[in-house]
Amino acid sequence: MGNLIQKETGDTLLHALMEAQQTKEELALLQCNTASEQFGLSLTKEEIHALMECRKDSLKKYQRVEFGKSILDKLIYAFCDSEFIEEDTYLDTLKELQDIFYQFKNQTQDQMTDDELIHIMKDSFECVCFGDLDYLSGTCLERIAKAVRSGYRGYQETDGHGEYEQFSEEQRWDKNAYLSAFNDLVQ
Amino acid sequence: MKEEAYISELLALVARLTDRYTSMESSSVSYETAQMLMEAVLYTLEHDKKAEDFHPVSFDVSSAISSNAFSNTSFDTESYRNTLIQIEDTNELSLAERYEIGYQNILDKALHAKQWYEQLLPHLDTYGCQHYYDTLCRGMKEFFRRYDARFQPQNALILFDYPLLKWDHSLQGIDLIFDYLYKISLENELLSWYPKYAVTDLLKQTCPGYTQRFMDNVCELVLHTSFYCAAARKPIRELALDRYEENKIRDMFTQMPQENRKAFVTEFMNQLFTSLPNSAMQQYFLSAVDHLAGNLTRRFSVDDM
Repeated sequence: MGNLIQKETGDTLLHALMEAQQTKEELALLQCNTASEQFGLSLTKEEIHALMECRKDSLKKYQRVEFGKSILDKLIYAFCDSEFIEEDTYLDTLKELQDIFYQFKNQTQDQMTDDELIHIMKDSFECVCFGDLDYLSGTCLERIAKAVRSGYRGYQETDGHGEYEQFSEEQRWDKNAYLSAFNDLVQ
Repeated sequence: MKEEAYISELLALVARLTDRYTSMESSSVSYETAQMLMEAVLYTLEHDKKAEDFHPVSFDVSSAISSNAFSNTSFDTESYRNTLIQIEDTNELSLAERYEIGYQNILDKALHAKQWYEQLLPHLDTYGCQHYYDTLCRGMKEFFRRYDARFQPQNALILFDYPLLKWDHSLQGIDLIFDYLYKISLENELLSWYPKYAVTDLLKQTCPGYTQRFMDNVCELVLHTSFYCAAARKPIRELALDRYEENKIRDMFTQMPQENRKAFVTEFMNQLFTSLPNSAMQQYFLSAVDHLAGNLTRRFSVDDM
């Protein structure tokens, strides 16, 4: 059993365990449709299976292990009310969100809890990125991850809500600029 | 227990430990973290045995107790033995039960090691060597402050800057600490037979500025010099040879065929250590003969060049 701790054997055993749990979890994820259907979103059994396969690939890609249940149900509950997700993009969006989640668990060096990261992802996705996943991962989360690696822990007090604004490098809604433009139009 | 059942229970244990590690706030961990926790579980399971059956520590508690190796401390050896949980046959227990037993054993061992260390420390002499002092007095204290018996029991945490005469590199965690303390106490006991001034004079002569610069094992230096003194028919405990006597010994060895040198030194060391007063010291120092003789012989070979 000393060989168990060798990486190659460890990989095989860990993924064997994941296979066994996957079927159980796929059934559990179907229950999430009860919440998401209110927003016109649902997943078929085949789509859930595809998501779980993507989960395996993402975990391997980012060298992570999930011993218990996956993060998918939390992602579904967090994002199902999004303005920017439609039924025809639901599956692909969830696949990408899952991948982005594991990527940034690594990038933030596991300093954030799952809930904190998901809250940051959702807030940024809705209010800053307006549904653009590339902007979410390439800009918003990159900046936050960099701050976390430098020692920032402010998200612990806010549980991840409303965190991005302090890291934004772009000027957004400016009341004075709006009023000036409005006055010009009126005149 | 069948292999599949064993693996399944083992992974369930690792999963539970991971939940504890993350306080259930993270569904996933990195491979490195999973590896660390897997090693923690395996190390803990190794500690589920009765005290006498305990392995792979080379430190034989029973032998040490009977040989009075702890005679200059009030380490309560009976209490140590009794507090380790006695199980007739751990094979009938589930892995989870064996894990909890192993964890309690590790905690108890760490507690006893700390108590023993605190009692031993006032009796230890580092002869002014800073890195000997730093390892024993600072590094070891840091270990007892930070040792993580739950998530990293296999990790000894400290750098053992001061080298032992004979290491057991197979040991980990609290076993390594126990082994290290035990062997340090034996080496210190041997050194206490020499007058302190003889040891410090030898250190000064060998390494000017030795308090900051001497990085080797003091016992090894003293034993090598004892050999030189014996070969020159000088009192061993004085550890004093003049330049003429040193050169004479060196010449004697360089004239000896190389294959005979190590045997000659080994014979001397065996005779010296067999006459030690207790079995614990005999066992330890005899196990180091090959290393001592090898190093001494290599010095003569370098001098040949």
